Amino acid sequence: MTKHYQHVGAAPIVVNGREYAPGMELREEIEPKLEEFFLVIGALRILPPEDRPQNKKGG
Amino acid sequence: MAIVTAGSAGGGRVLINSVALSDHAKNFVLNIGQETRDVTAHGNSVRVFRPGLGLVTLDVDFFNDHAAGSVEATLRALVATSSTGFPVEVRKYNTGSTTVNPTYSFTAVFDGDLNVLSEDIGEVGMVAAKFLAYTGTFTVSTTAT
Repeated sequence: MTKHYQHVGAAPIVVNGREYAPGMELREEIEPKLEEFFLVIGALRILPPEDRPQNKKGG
Repeated sequence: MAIVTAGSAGGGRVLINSVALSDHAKNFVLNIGQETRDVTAHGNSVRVFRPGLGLVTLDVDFFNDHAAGSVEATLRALVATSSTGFPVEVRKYNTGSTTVNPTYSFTAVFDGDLNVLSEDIGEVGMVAAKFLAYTGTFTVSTTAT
């Protein structure tokens, strides 16, 4: 299932062949074992709906 | 022919379970050799051998970093008695794969000590990691990625 994440770790990660630098947001379908790994090491956080770009109010 | 100093053109690539730790890797050594078995018997005048099993190892010396998602967190999470392996990948250059920059990858398991703290006064903390093959599949790819 595709989810919306934010890269909150200190090292770049590669997901489905795409490299993401710290701070980037990503919408990816990540294999559950790898997703758990990224969450455990603090590389990713799942963005709550209110933090997703499409739900942010323009300023 | 291209003989270049390690670290030129931006240096190499070290990917441990999809985490790019290249900028913390001081050195890495990938070995894809094999064992041998001595089959010397009576009548031989020199020791003779036969090929044994392949042996794939990856040794990396990292500058340690305790930041989230960096060296220590990544390696610590990979030490597990229930591990079913994880991908590791190295390249000479941290650029796309080509015939002169092949991607070497295999499914690994962590081997040996993990010194999450190794503090020598006045020195930068280092952590050494050794990876062995979890499966028998070792891949060399020159396909652009």
